[in-house]
Amino acid sequence: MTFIRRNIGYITLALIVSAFVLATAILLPNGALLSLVWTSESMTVLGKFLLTTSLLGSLTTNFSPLSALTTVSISFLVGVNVVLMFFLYRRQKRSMTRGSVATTSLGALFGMFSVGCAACGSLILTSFLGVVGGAGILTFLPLRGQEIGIFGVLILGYTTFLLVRTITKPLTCDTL
Amino acid sequence: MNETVQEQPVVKNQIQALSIPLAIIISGGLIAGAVFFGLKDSSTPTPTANVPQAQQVAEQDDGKALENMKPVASDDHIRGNPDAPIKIVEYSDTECPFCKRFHETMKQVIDEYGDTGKVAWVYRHFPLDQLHPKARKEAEALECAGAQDGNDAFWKYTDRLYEITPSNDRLDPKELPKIAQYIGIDVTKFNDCLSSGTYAEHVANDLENAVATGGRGTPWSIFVAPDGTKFPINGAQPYEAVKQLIENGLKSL
Repeated sequence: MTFIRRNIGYITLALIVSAFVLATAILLPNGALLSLVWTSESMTVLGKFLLTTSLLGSLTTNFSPLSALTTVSISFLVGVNVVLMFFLYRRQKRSMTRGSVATTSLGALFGMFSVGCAACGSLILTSFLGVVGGAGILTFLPLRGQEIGIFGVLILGYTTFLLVRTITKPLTCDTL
Repeated sequence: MNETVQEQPVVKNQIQALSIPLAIIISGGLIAGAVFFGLKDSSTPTPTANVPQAQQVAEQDDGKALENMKPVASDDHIRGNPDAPIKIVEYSDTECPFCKRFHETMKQVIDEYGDTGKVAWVYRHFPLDQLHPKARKEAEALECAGAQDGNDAFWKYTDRLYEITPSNDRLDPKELPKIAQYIGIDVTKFNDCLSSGTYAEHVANDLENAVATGGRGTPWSIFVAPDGTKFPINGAQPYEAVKQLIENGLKSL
């Protein structure tokens, strides 16, 4: 309890970042719809807002259990990573977090690529590969592209480990 | 002695320093491989080859791809009032598990808005051959059922197929005539129709149109508002989201 009270700011930041990443990942496949809706003059702001929030429910309808799990995990890990980097930066005020920023971004990027319906070829990744031809590459993978999400989780897990290790390491002047 | 003490941190730091470039190289390799195979695949003739990819991308960038949607006509399979102010045109793959899920969502939409004549559901084919090779023939089976006994038979057959398919190309082709029997149409005529490939071109045209409108996966739907404005619905979106779009559309009436 004391730990939560002492770190409430960091916990809130982690939750906000995680929620933002998760919402972006869920809404990304419907970016075109949202851009049309939000620029439409025939809809009220409330209507636009309600539609946007209702699309968040697609986590249960438009994701396989595995892709939903990797998306939630990646969002959570990005939130944790951002907070750890922020903590490290405030404590040490030096550029040692640069590598972690790069790796976290890479993990998040993998996570974003794995969003969508892997079994049907509507992955974000396929958008960069052309239409049905692009989905062909996924047929060679046993999990039809969801490997990318798992890879993202592994990268972020590794970054979290590196950051925690750096934070818990005693402050010494390393020779190397 | 000192050298051996310092050797371990050196190796550790080198591994740590190499981890990021290594991850970047692996990701780069994956993406490059994906692009390479993607381009290679797209160069082989496919039913979508008539629509140049660059043209599609340009059209999508302009937000005009949706205007390529073939207008709803009498030869379409429509559930609900054909003159409804709101139309949802769905491009679907019978072996896609998300299409199976969205089929139920659309049935729920028609249950709520179909009887009052406010919403019409238009079904078109979008079989993804590379992921579900059986889907194209199943799409033809749907058409064969419709050809024999009209719109009702088409929808009965479609509902039954989505109900029994385990998805992901796992429906035994032997089930197709059994579904015909189940809905009460002539199985011999149905088999003749299916083996003749009468509706192969129809299915190919639907697929081509789906791609031309910007469809990249299934289910791919286009929501046509009362004023004709088109909104893309990518994937199996929840009922609440579709309902919200409908309610917004009905307010403008």
